[in-house]
Amino acid sequence: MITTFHDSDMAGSEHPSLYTFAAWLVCLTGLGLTTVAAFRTVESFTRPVFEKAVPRSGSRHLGGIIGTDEAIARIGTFLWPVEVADGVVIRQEFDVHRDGLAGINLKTVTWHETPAAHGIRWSLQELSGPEWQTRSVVRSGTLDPTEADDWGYAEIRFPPIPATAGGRFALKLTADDGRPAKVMGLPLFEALEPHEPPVVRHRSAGATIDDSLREDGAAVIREIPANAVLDVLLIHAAGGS
Amino acid sequence: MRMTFGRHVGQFQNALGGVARSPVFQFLAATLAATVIFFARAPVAFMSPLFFAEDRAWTSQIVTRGFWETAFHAREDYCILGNVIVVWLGMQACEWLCGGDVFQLPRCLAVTSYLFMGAAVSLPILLLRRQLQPAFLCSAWLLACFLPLGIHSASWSGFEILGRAINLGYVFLFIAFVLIWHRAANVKKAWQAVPVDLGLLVCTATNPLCIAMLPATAWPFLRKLIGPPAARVAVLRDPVFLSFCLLTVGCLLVNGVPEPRGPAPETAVSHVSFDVAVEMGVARSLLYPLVWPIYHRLGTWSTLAVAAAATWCLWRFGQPRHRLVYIGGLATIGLVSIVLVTCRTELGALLEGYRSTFPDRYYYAQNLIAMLMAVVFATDVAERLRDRPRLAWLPAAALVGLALAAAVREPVWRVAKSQFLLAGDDRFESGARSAVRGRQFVDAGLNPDPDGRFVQVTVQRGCQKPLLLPRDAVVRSLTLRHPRRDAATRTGSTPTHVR
Repeated sequence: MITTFHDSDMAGSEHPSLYTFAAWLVCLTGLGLTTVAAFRTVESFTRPVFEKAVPRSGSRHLGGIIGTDEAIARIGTFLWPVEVADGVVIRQEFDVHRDGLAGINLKTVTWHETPAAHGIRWSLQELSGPEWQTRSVVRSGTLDPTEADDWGYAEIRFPPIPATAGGRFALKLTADDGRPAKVMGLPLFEALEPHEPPVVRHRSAGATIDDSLREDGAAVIREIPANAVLDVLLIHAAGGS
Repeated sequence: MRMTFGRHVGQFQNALGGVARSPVFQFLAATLAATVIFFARAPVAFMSPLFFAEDRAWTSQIVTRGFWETAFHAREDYCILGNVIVVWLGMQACEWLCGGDVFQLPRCLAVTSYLFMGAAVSLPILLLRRQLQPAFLCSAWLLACFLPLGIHSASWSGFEILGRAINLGYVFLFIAFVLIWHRAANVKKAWQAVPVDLGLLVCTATNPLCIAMLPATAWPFLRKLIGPPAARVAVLRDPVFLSFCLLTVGCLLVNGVPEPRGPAPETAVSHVSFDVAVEMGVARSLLYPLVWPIYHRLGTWSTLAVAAAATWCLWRFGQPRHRLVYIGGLATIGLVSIVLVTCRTELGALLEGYRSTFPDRYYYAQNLIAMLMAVVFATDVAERLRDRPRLAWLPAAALVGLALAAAVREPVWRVAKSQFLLAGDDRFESGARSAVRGRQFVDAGLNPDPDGRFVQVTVQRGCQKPLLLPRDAVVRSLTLRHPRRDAATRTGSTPTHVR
């Protein structure tokens, strides 16, 4: 009963095995493609249900806030990390498209270690006026580097800001002077869409630095690439407030 | 020129028709369709990339101890060759189709398990074509695809069967049943017998209950051996019989004498009552797939009455040539039921007096056999109604209706309620990264070793049995996903510094 490459249907034809081989090829290819398409279709229907039911660690871990998150920009290749120590100031601007900003997740690196305690203050500035020149601090606090995970997200939470849609904000991190034995870093990524790069500078000096280049105790001044961005997720409270 | 082209097209169309009619192609098509159906019924195995229970342990053992050692020594009481074959195939799929990205391994295992289950329920389409008409083969396939897995009880447990290599061992009982039927009915030559016997050998080396089914394979020979001397000599010279003898020897060599397993110690119950035995052995194992709409209304005596009526119907209206199939099916289900009632006494309490069907994994193979028997019975009834064409299609339609009713009744994409282990897409990767960062390396003896070849990954918090994966593969997969940021992971130095 099993059809072989020398099927009796093909008897008398010039190249029976060739036709049978081609027919098998076409049928199996069609079968495979149909199966993959069906599988993907089922997956496309299932995925949203699953995403809703399963909190993803990291990007969707909302730290007790029931809400949603959004990235400030799509990120691509990792560039290099910026160490948060030695009085460095890091400032990342971003636009907010929804009301109820209630937190920020910030990707960190720790070089396979648990960072030592070190003073890091954060503030959230609301920008306004022409060219976004006017800045007012709307939320502020401290960040504990000892709780940072390697390639995890540091969670910054604050009371929801009701009207944030359409606004521009800046997250500013300021590290205390001095350098702990084990530091926390913020990885820079290539932005896949136009976006303001972060500003990295010394608290004392106005120069922009990349302190990952610090070797032999000397900081090397380096421009942050125009297409660089921090991995920042904005957390919005459900219902916008 | 045009005539030549037309002739080529015609010949190609003929070839296409030949392929479409081919049993192998129909089997492949049915297998893939069943795979998609099983994925739709229980997508969590694919969506939640974690290693479920022993899937994790067996994967770790294959990685550290090798295929054969795992197949024959992973468990003390019996072999798990079939499960290990599925896990190994999943690992090969990961290696060859996913570029060795270990984070795709759970998905590869899930797809391989869906595929294997799809192949198992499609096996009658390949092997029983001479015994069942196409409409009834389709009915059997549909019924198997939509086999109820506790759809009327609160604890739907399809998620721990579909897409899980760990619980595929039960389906080998159904495979063995189909293979033995096919062997007795269709196999006449050695080249037909050898692959079937190899399949049976895998069945016995996976599900020890299949060993008890082997005597049924000898039945055609026994009938001849007790016959006239000429027939006896012919049997002894028959290569099919020789193949059977080799199967028996191989089975003994592989399995030895399996030791019965006692009840789970933490929930041990000394014995089950008559009522619970009837519920486990008759209602849940035999009748459930056919009476699931009214299952919760059954009781001990109604179950026995329905079972007696069904048996009488099989005997009264079934064709005599199928009586051995009925006897074999009932004997297989009865055998498994006896083992469950005597050795897994703790399962009785879980059924909660016809209110639950959990854990469905212990019963679904018997249910598949019961459904196949129902299909055979339907063919017999259809044959009796041959003179009434308007009624002859009713049995097949009734079975298709039952299958579709089960499909409609079971909510698809059940994610939130029944799945007690869910993980996001990044959990596995995060665990692997932490393991590499924490230098959780072990040697082949599972001893901590900074230079060990294996990484001990915690996939789920609190899980006592970690996952062991090749260190090189994990580091390579991390690097593949994040080429630059994992340069440090690969080298053990700090993240990339730019000069």
